[in-house]
Amino acid sequence: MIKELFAELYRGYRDFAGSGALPVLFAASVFAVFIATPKEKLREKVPIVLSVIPACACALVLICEETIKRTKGRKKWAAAFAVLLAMMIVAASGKSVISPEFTEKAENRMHIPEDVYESMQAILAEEDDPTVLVLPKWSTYFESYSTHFTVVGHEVSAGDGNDEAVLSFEFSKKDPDMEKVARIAHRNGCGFVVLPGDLWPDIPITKFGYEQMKECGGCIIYREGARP
Amino acid sequence: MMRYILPFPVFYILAYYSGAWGEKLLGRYGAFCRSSFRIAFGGCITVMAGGLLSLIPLPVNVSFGIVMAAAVAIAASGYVAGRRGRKAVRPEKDDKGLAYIILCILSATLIAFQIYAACAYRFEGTEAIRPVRTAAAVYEGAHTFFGDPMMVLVGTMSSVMRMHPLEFVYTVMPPVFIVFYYVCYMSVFDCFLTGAKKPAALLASALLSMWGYQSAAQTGMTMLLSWFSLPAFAVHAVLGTLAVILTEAVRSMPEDDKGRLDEEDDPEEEWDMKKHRIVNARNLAIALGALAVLLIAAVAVLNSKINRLYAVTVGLQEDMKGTLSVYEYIGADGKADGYLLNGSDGEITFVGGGGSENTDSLKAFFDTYGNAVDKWYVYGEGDEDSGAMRSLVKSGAVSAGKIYVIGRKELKEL
Repeated sequence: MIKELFAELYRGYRDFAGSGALPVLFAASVFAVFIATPKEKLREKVPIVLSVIPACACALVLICEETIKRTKGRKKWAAAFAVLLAMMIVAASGKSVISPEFTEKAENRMHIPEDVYESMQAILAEEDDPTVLVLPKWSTYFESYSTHFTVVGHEVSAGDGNDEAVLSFEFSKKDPDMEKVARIAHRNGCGFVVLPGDLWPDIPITKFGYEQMKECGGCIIYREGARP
Repeated sequence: MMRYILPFPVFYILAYYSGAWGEKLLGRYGAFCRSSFRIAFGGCITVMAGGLLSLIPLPVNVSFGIVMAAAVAIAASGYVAGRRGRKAVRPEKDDKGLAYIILCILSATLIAFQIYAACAYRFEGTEAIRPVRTAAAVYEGAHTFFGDPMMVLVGTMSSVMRMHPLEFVYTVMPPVFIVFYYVCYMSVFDCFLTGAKKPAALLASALLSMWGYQSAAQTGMTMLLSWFSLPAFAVHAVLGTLAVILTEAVRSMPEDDKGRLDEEDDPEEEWDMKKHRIVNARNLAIALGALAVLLIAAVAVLNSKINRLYAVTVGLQEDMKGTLSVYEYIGADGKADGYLLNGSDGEITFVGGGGSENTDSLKAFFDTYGNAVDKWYVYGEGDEDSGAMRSLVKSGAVSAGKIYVIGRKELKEL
């Protein structure tokens, strides 16, 4: 019971606050704006709550202004407090969206990894409406690139027991069971399977009815061949 | 090159002239309309009208014609209405000191960097581009349909410009929309702040856009990940513009009404201040400030703990994968009849198995832990020791690389 409660709390935190603390900052900002506003002008400030990000920014500016005003003659402390506040906000808000952890230089104007892009073009050159089994993290690229693709292998949380969940689980392992992957691919009528070149399963998928069609950089395209 | 650059001036010219309707709206409240609000209001009207009109199922060229005609009509009527309208008196100009200029330069640099990053860098997660599927359907089908209005509009525009929606989203849209969102922010700051506080708030909001969102639920509205999504447009543009209109509406309320409402509140305040002097506005502000700082610190600590816990879990999983795992097989008689060894190199070795009465339960065991055994050691060649193995290997339910027989002679002399 307690464990489930903590699991729910953790999930809620990850989903709605994440490693950033915007909801907390926003709530604190709304308080700060209302407190820093004289009573006769309070009603005018209520709509600012709607603006979300500008409300947080306004609150930050008002807090700094109020601090400087209240510590007149002690400006060093005011400046130190403002710097501390800014640092805490940055620290609490998590990592920058534009940090090397989350980003890498786009290889083309569509922001699709070049090898995945080449694979998609190679498959569409072979078949007009292909059904493709792909690595879960590539499924969105395939679907956003063309509606001609029917994609098997979306990112889902493991444990549901369906094909997508089994694939997510298998591809999260160091050595995925290619027999299971091939079985799911056959069952869903996948004419093609696209896998990364650096995947080294114990038994390759070529043993289970798929043959290598093309290698595009870090991607290998397998085409359905004769069944074993 | 022109098709990447042209949408920027076209959008802002249309937004500026359509924004005259916003100026007229604020004029009704006797408020002065700054250029930032005019562009914010006009931009919102242009995008919303475009999005709604593109939902009519038509060939994309026809839909594009209707959208552009409507946008030009709104802008032209705004131009005429703006000329005829009576302008409110401009308030005193802000004092633009050195701090103002420095903060403006800093903000502009940060915004320019954000646009560059949005165009040039690919983000690890792909959730943000999931809605582009709708735009791709419009682009490939060359026909609009009822769906996400923002994405149908993107699909229409990209189809007419002969540019894949993903390319449109990552090359044409960032300069137009990210700048537009900051103009909307500026319209809010113009309404609430004065002087150097305005660029200071702009700088703070730019920093928040870079650090403020990391959760799954907020991906769809994060300016630097989803500037092309409907929730992002609603949060960054529509809500800010609405906040300005509501504020001016409240400000235009007759003073008598305000006074009457304030008077109604006064007796309680006097009672509060006289009898509970300790609970005054200053002390409350300090308490809430401290609470905010505490909350932020708590979140920072929680973040660090969660990240550390995650790193440990990942390390533990890697360790478990990299070491020998042993699984015990319980036979039909309820006793341990075999052991499966999963080596650090992935090699599977099985020892034992028992008689043919174990066939079904042993098959279920292998279905769980892997049906390909590299080495199988059985205790004898008779049915009681290798019956289950023989059935499974013969039926093909389990593949065995090499099979060995080991003696089970007891060393009684020791």
